[in-house]
Amino acid sequence: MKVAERAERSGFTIIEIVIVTALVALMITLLYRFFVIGSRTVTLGTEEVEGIRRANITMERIKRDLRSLCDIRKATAGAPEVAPDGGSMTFLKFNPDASAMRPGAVKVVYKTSPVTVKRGDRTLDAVKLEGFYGDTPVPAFSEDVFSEVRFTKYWLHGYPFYQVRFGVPDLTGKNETIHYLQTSVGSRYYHALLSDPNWLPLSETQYEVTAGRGSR
Amino acid sequence: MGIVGMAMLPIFTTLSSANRGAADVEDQAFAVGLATEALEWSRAIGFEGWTRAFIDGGTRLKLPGQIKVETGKGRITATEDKVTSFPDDAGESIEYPKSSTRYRRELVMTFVEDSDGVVRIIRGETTVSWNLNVRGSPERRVRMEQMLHGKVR
Repeated sequence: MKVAERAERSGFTIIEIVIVTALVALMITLLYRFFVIGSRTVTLGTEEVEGIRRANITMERIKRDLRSLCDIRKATAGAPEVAPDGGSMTFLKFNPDASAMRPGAVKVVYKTSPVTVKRGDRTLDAVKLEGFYGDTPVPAFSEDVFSEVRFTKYWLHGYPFYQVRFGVPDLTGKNETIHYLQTSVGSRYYHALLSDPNWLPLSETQYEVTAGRGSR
Repeated sequence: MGIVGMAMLPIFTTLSSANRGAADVEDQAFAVGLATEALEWSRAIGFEGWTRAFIDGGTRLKLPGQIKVETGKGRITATEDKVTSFPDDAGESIEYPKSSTRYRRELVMTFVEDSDGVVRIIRGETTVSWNLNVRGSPERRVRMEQMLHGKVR
């Protein structure tokens, strides 16, 4: 008899069910929140690494161009120029066009302009880097946006160097940290010209620069 | 709550891995830039320049850091315990980001003698290591090398 009474009274009260439901809901909400934060961090981290990778590729291209720099003083726009604010750089490099019958020079311009970009839920001040070989834009640069791009020319041990700095925004951190890539490139051709003039296949007066493509 | 805790564990791991991975890539990329820079300096000075520096004890060598010439070992070393701004030939300060002080840079130029006892090659090796073991192994470093050849006669 007592067992039967107990069986009739067994089960959950409405209060117990409400409490358990609330707890389960709380657990699911917490898990969901952590999952969302985790996914977002991974996405931003991937984007950040991608930004560093893009900066690396862009820097490699600029390094390659600077290494084929020619400092032809008598040619139009031959002297390398770096803007005082470090926002742009202009120089001549040897024309890499292998099909050309005669060597020439092409004018290279790198310039930056300020832009605003949205990354995650943050709006960032950034700079867009554009490159031109003569009048032709460098296509790989069209999508590149960085926190900072700066060019500096300096002399060390009597030789000219071009310092290139890229800033990539830290998207995963809470503060506005910037990751940097920085290096310097010496103009090897120019050094060779100074140390051994016979290394030059042609005299500097034989070059002229026309619309970005040089001819002799 | 135990179940919630266990479920959160992989999420925390993923989160921390993402942050660490991004930071490692950044550190490595910056170190490669510093190492490349030192090699560019050594390349500009060239075989003749390094030979002259070796003969005059490195007194006229203008490079950032401390310069040590070891005549017996046929070696010139330029060491920056902390990579930081340095003056160029005109006295203008060449700046680095603040985070560059976390790195140590060393450029070692070794004069290599051939079988005739003549130096025809100078081996340049640059090593960038981390001053603070913030992340990863203390052995982490970036090392690059190049050869500078004398004129072939």
